[in-house]
Amino acid sequence: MRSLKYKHMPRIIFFILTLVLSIGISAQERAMNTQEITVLKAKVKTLAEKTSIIQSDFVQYKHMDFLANDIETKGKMAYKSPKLVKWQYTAPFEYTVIFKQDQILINDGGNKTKVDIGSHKLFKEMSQLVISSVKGDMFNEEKFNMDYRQSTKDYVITFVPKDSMIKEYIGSFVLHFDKESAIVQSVKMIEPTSDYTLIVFKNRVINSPISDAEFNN
Amino acid sequence: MISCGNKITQGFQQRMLQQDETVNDYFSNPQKDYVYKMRMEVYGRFFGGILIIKRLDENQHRMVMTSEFGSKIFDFSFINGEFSKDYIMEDLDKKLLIKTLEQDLGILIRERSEASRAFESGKDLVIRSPWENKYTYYYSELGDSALNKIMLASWRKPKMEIRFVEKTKGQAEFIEIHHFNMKLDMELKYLVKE
Repeated sequence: MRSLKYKHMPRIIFFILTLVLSIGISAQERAMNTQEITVLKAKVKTLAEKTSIIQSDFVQYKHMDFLANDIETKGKMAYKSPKLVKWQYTAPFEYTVIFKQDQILINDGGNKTKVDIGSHKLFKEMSQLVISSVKGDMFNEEKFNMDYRQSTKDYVITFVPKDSMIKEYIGSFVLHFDKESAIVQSVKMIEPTSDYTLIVFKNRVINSPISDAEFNN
Repeated sequence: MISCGNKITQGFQQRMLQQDETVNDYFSNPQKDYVYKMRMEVYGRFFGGILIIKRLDENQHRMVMTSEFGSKIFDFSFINGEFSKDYIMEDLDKKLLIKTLEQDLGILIRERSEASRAFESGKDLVIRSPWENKYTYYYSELGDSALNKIMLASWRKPKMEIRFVEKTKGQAEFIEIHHFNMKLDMELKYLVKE
C-alpha cells in the first residue's frame, strides 16, 4: 500500500502543481465585460486626446524558438502629434528610423537613406500601427479582431489584424495597458510562427516639448 | 619552386599538402546564437538588419535575417549542405539575390572542406578546396590556425571574398563579404558579447 502511494506520488504532485498553476493563470487574467471594455476605451481615448508628445525609453526582446537567448536591443522613442515618430536604437548598435509624412528616414550607423512609403503599402501600414500602438489608440474594428482581458494591474488586449498582407507578417499584437493611467506598457508582435518581438516602454514623459528638428535625419 | 597555371595562385609557392581538410569553426558551436548586425549594399542601395546563424545539429545550420524592428526578412536552412529557402520577403524574392546569398552564406558557415592543394603566399598559408565548378581558398597566417579569409574564384578570376577582419577567442566579430563581379557588399558585426 505504502509503495503504491509512493509510486503515484510524482503524478499527484504534478497534478497539484498543474492545478495550482492553472488557478494562478486564471486569477492573473480574466475576460473583461462590455462595461469594463467601454471604460477602458474611454480612458485610452481621453489620454490620447490630451497626449501630443510622448518620449520614452524602450527595451526590445526578439524571441525565436530556435535561439538559446532572446536578442535584446535598447533605445529611445519619440512621438509628436499628429504624425512624427522616431525610434532610435542605441545599444548594442546605433540605428534610427523616423516616420515623417510619407517617408521613412533611416540612419543606419551613419548611412542615411530615405524610403518613399507612398508607394509601399506594408511600410505605410506598419507606420500607422506604430503610431497607434504608441498612442494606445488602436481600437479599430475594421482593421482588427480584439480580445479584452485584465489582470489586477493591467488590461491585456489582443489585436488580430484582418488585412491579409499584415497577417502574413504578424499573427497578433498584444498590448498591456496600465489600469490606472491607461498608458501602454508593452507591445508584443507575435508572428504566425509564434516567434515574437516584445517592446517594453520605460521612463515615459508626456507632453514635454520636443523640437521638430529631432525628427530630421 | 613550382609555378601553377592557375591565375589566382600565380606567384604562390606550392607546399606539400599535410591535411585532408580545412576547417572553419566560426559557426560550429551548437550552444551559441551567432547574432550579427548586418549591412548590405546592393548596386548603391543600402539595407540592413540582424542576421542570426545557429547550428542546430551536426549537419544543419539555420540563418534568419530580421529587420531592426524584428520582422523577418529571410529564413534559410542548410541541411547536409543542401540549401532550403523557408521564407523571403516578397520584395527580395529575386532568383539572382537568393542564389548569391545561398553561395555566400553557404561558404561562410561550411565547417569542413576538402583540402586539394596547399600554397604559401608571403606570410600566408593558403589551402585550396573545390567548390562546385570553382575553388575556395582558405587563408591563414603560417603557424597560426585562425582563418583570415575565404576567397571564391574560378580558374582565372576571383569572384567573392569573405574577410574575418576582427576575431576574439575564436569568435569572428567583424566580417566583410565583397563581390568582384557585382556591386554587392556585406558587413557583419557581432552583437552578443560574452
